[in-house]
Amino acid sequence: MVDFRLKNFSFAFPDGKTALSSISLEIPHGQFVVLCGKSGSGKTTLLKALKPELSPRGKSSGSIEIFGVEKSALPRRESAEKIGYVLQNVELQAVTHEVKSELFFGLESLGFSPEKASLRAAETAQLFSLEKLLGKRISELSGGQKQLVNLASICAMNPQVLLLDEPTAQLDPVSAQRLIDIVTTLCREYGVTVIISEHRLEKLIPVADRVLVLENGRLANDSPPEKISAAVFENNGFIRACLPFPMRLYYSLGFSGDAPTDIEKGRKWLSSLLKDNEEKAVFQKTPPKEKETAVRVKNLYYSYDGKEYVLKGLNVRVKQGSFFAVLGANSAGKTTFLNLTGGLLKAKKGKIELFSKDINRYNPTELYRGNIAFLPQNCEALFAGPTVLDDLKNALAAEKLSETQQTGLIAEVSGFCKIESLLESHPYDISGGELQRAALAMVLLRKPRLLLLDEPTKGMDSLFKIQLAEKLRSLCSGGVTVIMVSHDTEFCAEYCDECALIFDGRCVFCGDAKDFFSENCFYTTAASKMTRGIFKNAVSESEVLALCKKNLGL
Amino acid sequence: MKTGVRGIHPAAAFVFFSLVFVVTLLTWNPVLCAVSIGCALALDIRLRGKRAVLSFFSFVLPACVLITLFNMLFAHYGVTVLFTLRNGNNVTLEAFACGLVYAVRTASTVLWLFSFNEIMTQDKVVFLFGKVAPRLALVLSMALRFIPLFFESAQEIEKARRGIGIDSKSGSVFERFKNSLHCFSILVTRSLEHAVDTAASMSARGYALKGRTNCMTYPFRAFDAVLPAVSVVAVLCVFAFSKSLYAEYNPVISIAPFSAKGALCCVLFFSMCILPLIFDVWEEKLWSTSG
Repeated sequence: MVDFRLKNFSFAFPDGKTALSSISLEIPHGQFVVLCGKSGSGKTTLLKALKPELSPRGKSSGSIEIFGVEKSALPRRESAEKIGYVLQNVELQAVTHEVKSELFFGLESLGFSPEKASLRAAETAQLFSLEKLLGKRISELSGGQKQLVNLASICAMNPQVLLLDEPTAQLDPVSAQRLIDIVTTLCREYGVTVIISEHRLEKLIPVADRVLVLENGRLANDSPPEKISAAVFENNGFIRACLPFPMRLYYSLGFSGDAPTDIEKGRKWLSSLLKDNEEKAVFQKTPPKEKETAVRVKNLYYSYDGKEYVLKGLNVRVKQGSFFAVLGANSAGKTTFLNLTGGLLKAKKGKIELFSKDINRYNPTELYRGNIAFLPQNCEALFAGPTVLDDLKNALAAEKLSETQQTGLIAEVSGFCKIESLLESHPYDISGGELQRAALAMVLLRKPRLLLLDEPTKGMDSLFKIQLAEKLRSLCSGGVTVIMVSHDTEFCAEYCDECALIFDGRCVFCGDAKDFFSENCFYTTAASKMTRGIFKNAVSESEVLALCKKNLGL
Repeated sequence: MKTGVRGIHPAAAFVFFSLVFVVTLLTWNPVLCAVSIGCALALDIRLRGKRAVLSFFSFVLPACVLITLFNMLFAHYGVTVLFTLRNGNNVTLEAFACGLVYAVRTASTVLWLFSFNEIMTQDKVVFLFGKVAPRLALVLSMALRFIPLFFESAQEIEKARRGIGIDSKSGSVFERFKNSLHCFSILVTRSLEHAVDTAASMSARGYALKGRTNCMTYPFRAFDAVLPAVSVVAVLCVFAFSKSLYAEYNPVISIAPFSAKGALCCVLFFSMCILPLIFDVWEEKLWSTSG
């Protein structure tokens, strides 16, 4: 049985911008399909085209058949019942105010009896461990919790097809893994068709049946994951950056053929490769330099409701010019910590010093003009429109620059953030990843001494992440301190100097990032997992690659 | 499950609030107005705590003063002249009294709305009307969520923009003004965009298909019968004995003299308005002692 059949499907937005061009595709029932592509390549548009109620307005040609029927002829009930769609923007999906009623919403629409609906909701809540959240208001939840609730409320309806738009973007590695496990189980054991759009492919490639790559609205690759050939890998820097670590290493060392797709296969392959080599390398760490303190947080307490404390005596020290990552589970208090450090919330107890001066002794204008710039988690709130360019100008308005200086600065930043082509668009009309980049541009324009970033890499494609890291590192070497909250362990391990792990309201680790990632089991990288027992202290991809080359005499 | 007055059955809450609004919006009687605003404020403080006090002093009270002043200065009916303005217009006691009652009525409506928002959550609206009139329920529930979401959104935007120094508290007075305008502009665009997205998300999950059921269960307790019963009796009395409750401010103040019927109405209306608060306190006591 074929769920979706696209014949030469093209789509253009009302403003004439082509989003998808001549896509032909058949997705049989029960397949696990991964959809990847750069930000703005049309992933969301393609997914939405497969769900009639959400399909964007515009000009389309070609045809889409869903469950063997022409899309426009598909009965509404069938579409609502059988196709579950989880939206990319976590804020937009919830339609009720409370977690429990959110779980019930779809079931009620479909006419479930109260008994059946309660059973279904109970089952789903357990599957996603939402028991404790049931009575909470949606607005009280953290970004990651919202993402789980969104998926759960769709899964409760028991759809035959699940369309997921970047469902793990705001989840910690443990929750992300759990979510992928759940989706995999639904696909393998219950025969649900899964189409998932995602930038982080490490965990998905091993379970996927098929990888679709979109490039400027065209289908650039459609093959099983292990068949993404060396040729594609060579020619396409983007796909290269998306692939899981074992595959990347395999191709980077010049091998061809079926690459190892997961860590287990990767480890077997690597140890067989190096078995005659006695010289097992240890990666030499460079001892951290002593630097001045940029941020010192002492004994910090915070509570939103006066009852439950989110932070309970947190201590952190961040060195000047350091690229500092804050890690932790969903709703551990990472965003709260960042908000407090940025002066956007006031501590109930404890002290925060920025550049050896108490944060309360700065006046707001002084604090946010030159000292701090803050990129919030929901960066949509930064934009006023009517165009992205207006917003960038607005960010510079206080600087009293001449027209040419302003244009120069904006050109520089938008060139780096790759948003030149978006400058004339309305901020709400661009894709999630593009919005994230535009927000970054706004923040960078402020030229702060301390840059605070809340999940800056969510929705960003792997290729841009590398450029972002280079930019942030160059800012750091220029003396700017960067504190970043992130779930993206690979990114942190590869590029951060220091990191902190928040657990139970305290900071349980604060120090050198290499120490952290080489010893952990969950908060670590694929490179570290795969090379345990083979190499010592190798955490990042570049380190492993260097060691492999050394051992193989390449 | 929610306890106290928040856990009230949607139908009971709906009957109660409709009747309270009817009386509050129709009566000119100063005693009924005073009862209404007193009880509304008490319930609001009970439900929203500090935020209620804050919104009362920062928004409701100033609005009251403004409405009264406005009426006093621009309405010139009445016979009891308090003083004469420079332009020769008289300021009368009648206009003042009428303005005051009008202001109190408006304020109590707003205060009841605050409590209504806390108690009649969106799921309750959908529970009541989702089946018979799904589109009406959609519009109603969105309108209800719009106000709190609007304020939440406003705070989020303000905070996000403060982080890069372009909010309504950064820079010179002119900059602050400009930044405030920007914040407001985003707020409006965003709220409207989000309303469209919410509607799309609802329809994607089968809203407005035929045969919708109600699966959220709201237990029906004794109080859920008592409250509407008391409310209906009170409001029937108020209507039946409306002659004993008349109040006019133009051209002279003439308020119904004290009568047994009038007093009965006031007492009944007071019991109706104070009942939710009593229930809330009573149930809290019950939980804390039985635990």
